[in-house]
Parts: sequence; structure tokens; C-alpha cells
Amino acid sequence: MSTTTVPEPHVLAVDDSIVDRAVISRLLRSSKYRVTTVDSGKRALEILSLDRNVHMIITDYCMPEMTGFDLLKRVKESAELKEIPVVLMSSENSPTRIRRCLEEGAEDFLIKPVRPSDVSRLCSRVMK
Amino acid sequence: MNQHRRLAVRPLRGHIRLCINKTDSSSCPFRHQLPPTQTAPTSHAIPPPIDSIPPTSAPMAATALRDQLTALLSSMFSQGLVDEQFQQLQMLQDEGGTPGFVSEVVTLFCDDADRIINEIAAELEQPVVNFDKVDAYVHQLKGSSASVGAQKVKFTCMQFRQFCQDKSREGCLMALAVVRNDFYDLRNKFQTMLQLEQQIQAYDPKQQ
Repeated sequence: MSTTTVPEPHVLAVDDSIVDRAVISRLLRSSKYRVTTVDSGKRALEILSLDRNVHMIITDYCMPEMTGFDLLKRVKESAELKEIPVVLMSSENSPTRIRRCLEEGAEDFLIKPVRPSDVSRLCSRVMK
Repeated sequence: MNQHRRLAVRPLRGHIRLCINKTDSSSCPFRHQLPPTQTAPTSHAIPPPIDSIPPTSAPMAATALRDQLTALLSSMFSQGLVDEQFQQLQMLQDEGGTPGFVSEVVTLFCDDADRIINEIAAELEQPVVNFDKVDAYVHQLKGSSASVGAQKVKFTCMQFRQFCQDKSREGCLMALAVVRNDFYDLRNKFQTMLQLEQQIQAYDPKQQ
């Protein structure tokens, strides 16, 4: 009898903070996801152009040059990428910002610091 | 390679509990990467080298060190230096079987915070201060502080941002002094924590 190994879902985590990248990466790996971390929206788009096997993008909102919102828009405007769920994170609990992101197609908006329970809830819902 | 024990302190029902977990010595970058202490010595004395302690006294020394570590971490929480997020990181390490995770994150934070504080200081020395730039740096520091559970530094950054928004150089300089002091205090305690952990591991390598 043969067994099939299900590959781990792949999450692309985007954050200009090296500390936050380490934390979110650990949180996602503890939920059994394969994680790629990058430090900018520009770099995220480069990764996405090379690897279409990304099941979710989780990105910080406030980043220099390309914000998480800009990245969200670029993903949702792309025919190849628009189906990938995008989650935004921010330390600022701004209802205007949150509404703006959800209206643009974000799956969720997490307030930092992100907790293990946030990631568990998110992944079980979004990855389905 | 020697097995050594990582210590995680986890609050339980409002009390600090010491939990012993196994790790391997290669996953402990923190002790090699922290810069030397830059302020006056802390009140937490560093224990003597292990080879100066008679072998028969090793268990007692290890117990004393554990008590010291417990007291240190307890004081860090009670003084508001760290908060629940720091506990979350410890739990992530313990439950996820990732030894050295807390060390790694704390080291990254200390390096990053040091860099940001220096950037802020340089910006505030300019003839014309770019307060938006200073605010952006403070925002970064606030964010990384929150992520590691550095509560006191985080709160100081929140006050600092107000001075940035008021475009007050004097206020910013005062806030910078407070942030720097709070950060150095925390870094000293993190450094002591790691040194205690190393000493405990050296005294009690049989703990699994």
C-alpha cells in the first residue's frame, strides 16, 4: 500500500523588521507551514514571480517604499496571483486602515504582536 | 557535543515557574552575540566560574543559580520590563521544540534596538531635524519591542512618538535618554539571564 506525503502549505511572510520576521516565521512553522521570509514588498513580488506555489501571503502594513497595502493591491491586480490569500499585520489598530485593506481584498488583518492563537485561527480558516 | 539545558520561565497561575527543557549547545547564539554591558553593573551578581566550585558543591550551586534566575525573571516581569509576549516566546520555544529560539529573538532585538537608537541620536544631532524620520525609527523600535515583550521600552517609545509629533527636539532628546536607559537596563538583564542559564547548564548537564 502506498502512502502519499502531503506537502506543507507554503506561506510567504513579508516584514521589514528582522525581529518580527523571526517571530512570525516561528509562529507559522509551529503550525506546520513552510515559510519563506522577505524584508520588502518588492522582494515578495520577485519571489512570487519565481514560485507560484505560495498558499498565503502575510505582510506587515508599514514598510518603506512599498507598503503592505501596496503589495496587497499588486497581488489582487494580478491574474496569476489574485487567488492567493493576503493577510495584513500592523501594530496600529486603525479601523480606517483595517477597512481599507479588507475592501481591497485582504483575508484578515492582525494586530501586532501576533499571537499563536491568531496564527492558528487564521491558518485553519484561510488555508481551507 | 554536550547537551545543555535551556531554561524557560513560564508564569503559572500568576507565579513564575521554572521549566527545564533540553536543547543542544549549538542552538544558543545569544551568548556570543550580545555586546558588552555599557552601563553600571547590575544588582545581579554573576556566579563564580564553575572550576572554582568544589565538585561536591555543584548541586547546591546549581540550585542557587536556578533560584537566582527565577528571581531575576520574576523581577523583570514585576518591574514591567517584559510582559506576556515574552512568555509567549518562551512557550513557543518549549512547545515547539525549538531550543535557542528565545535567545535568537532577544539577540536580534538587542542588535536592532541598538542600531535604531544610534540612528535616532544621529538624526537628532542634525541642524534641522527630520521628525518624520525620527518618528519612523521610534515606530520601528516600538514594534520590535512589542514583538519580544519588551514592555517598558515599548511604552517609552509611545511617549517618544508624541514628542516627534509635537516636533520638539528637546522633548525628543529627553525621550531618547529614557529609551536608551530602559533599553540598556533590559539588555543587561537579558545578558545576565543567559549567563545564569549557561552556568546552570554547566553545573547540571545531566538534566534532560
